[in-house]
Amino acid sequence: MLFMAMLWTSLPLSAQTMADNDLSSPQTCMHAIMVGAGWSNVLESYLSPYNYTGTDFTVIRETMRPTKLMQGKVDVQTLFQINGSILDNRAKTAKEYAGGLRYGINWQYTWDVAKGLKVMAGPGASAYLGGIYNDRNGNNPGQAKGDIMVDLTAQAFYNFRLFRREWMLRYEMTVPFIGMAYTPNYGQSYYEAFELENYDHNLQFAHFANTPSMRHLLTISMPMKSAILRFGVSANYQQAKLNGLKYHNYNTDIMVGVAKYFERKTTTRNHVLPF
Amino acid sequence: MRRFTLYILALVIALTTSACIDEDDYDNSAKGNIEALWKIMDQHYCFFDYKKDIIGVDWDEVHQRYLAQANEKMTKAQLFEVCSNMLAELKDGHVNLYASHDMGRNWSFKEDHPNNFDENLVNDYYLGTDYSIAAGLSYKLLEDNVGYVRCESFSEALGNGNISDALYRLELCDGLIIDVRNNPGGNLTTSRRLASHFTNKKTLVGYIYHKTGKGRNDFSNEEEENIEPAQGIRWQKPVIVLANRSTYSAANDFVKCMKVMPNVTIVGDTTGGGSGMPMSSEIPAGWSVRYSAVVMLDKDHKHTEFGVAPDIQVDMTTTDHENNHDTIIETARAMLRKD
Repeated sequence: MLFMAMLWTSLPLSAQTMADNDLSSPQTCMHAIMVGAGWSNVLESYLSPYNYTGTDFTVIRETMRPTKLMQGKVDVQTLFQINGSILDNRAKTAKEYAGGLRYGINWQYTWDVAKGLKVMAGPGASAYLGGIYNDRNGNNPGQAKGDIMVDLTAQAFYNFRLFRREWMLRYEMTVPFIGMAYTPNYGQSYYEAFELENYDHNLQFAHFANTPSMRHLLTISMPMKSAILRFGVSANYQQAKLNGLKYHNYNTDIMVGVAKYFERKTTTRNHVLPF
Repeated sequence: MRRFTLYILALVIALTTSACIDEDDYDNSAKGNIEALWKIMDQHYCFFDYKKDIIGVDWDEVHQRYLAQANEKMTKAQLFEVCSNMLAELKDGHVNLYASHDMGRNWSFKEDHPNNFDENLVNDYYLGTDYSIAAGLSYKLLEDNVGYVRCESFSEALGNGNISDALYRLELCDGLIIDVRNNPGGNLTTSRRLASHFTNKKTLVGYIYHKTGKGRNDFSNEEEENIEPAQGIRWQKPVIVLANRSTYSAANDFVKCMKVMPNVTIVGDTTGGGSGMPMSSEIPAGWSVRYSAVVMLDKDHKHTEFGVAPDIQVDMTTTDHENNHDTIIETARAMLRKD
């Protein structure tokens, strides 16, 4: 129901927004929303030295549109991802709840590699806000998570025909490169950080060596009337080792959703576009 | 440029995919649990040097002694007992092991000392039935015009409005008794909020620091802890704080703070201590472990882990108790009365 409501509200708004844009050819924009469920593995050594595992839920909202940059070869993509997990320790004696939202924007240059195959790559930026809560810890019940990163992104599209339909296979990978991340110090309490406001290296320079993370999205799309049905797998591998604290959040979700393309002159399109 | 970009991308991907951040493998055997518990404490506990000086605990020797007791045929209850005994070596009320069937503890801070408090006596002969309740404060004006405030815990929310209203209703008394005997602690924010009604200026009450790494002496710099005067009523008359060995944790901190406030006298017994702010972790058996993680010192940079001494030491006498008199309350009343 939530998915349907989001879809209902997002598509008409997107169409209206895109109608005002003055974009270079092909004047086509894509809006998509996907929901998914899967599994998650979380380690947060501020709360526990052990991995917690459980179920993960994810919603991804994506837009993509062309720009005038570099003779129209650069597209801009926005990704808004919300995820939440319910987790248990191995002994099933404690629970953790993890969740957060990430907003990312990427600028990607397009290469036409072969017939039906396109590759895009470029820089991006993203911000994350989230947290993990352990249901039995006392003065360290949770851990806040936040970062602002410069990312490197790349994706490949392959269009093909099968069963008299057009299909598009797409793979995207994002790697956080450098940025800033929030973390308490090794044994610092939140009472010190927030009640007494004692700063102790809580903002850290983050880079691909101390926060080696990746986000993957593999989808296959097929046209369905005026929209495009999309299935996929989202895999997020967030990691950090800051102030002596270890963190990872590996989640993999099976995704389903729809995409829709908008043009300035015509608002519907029945086949899969190359992005 | 394109080639350079590809090289950077390849380098980042190679580093990213090869760097898996994880903890050591999980060993849920008797030996694995004892080892894991020892290691968690070794890397996070904040009083090793102090405990070695005061009670002679050598954590490395403890490791050898308890690891030798590991036996894969031992039951869960036996393993729990061994683990609890290992933690008890530290004589720290904030160090506990929690399982569904038991809580490992060392409460020698209160069990090895006189009680100096009888709740029934206080309820029947001092508070009675006509006392007032402002959140976590029970209070009453005694017959000799001395205000009596009983604060049995700092776990309950206590706002400045509650405190101000209680103090306002006691404003005509000659002096105030704040009884925190048998108060096991609770929220530091709450205890500090109560203390803030007894000073007119920003007051240094101590220092705080935490672990910054796995080493036993990896600590942050000491940071000052100050109490700002409360917004609301600030008490200007004499105050006597009653303490005993069961005044612990945030209540111990309250006594530490009140000791530096003007017009305040501490009466009763030394507090139970518990100056390390506890945090939690767990061992492979799924049992939760609590340990002191953050050190809080008094204004003279001294530990209060084993308690704060009173200004006037008073113990409850058997004779008084038999006559339904609380010696410590009566001493405080006599000090505050204006005959």
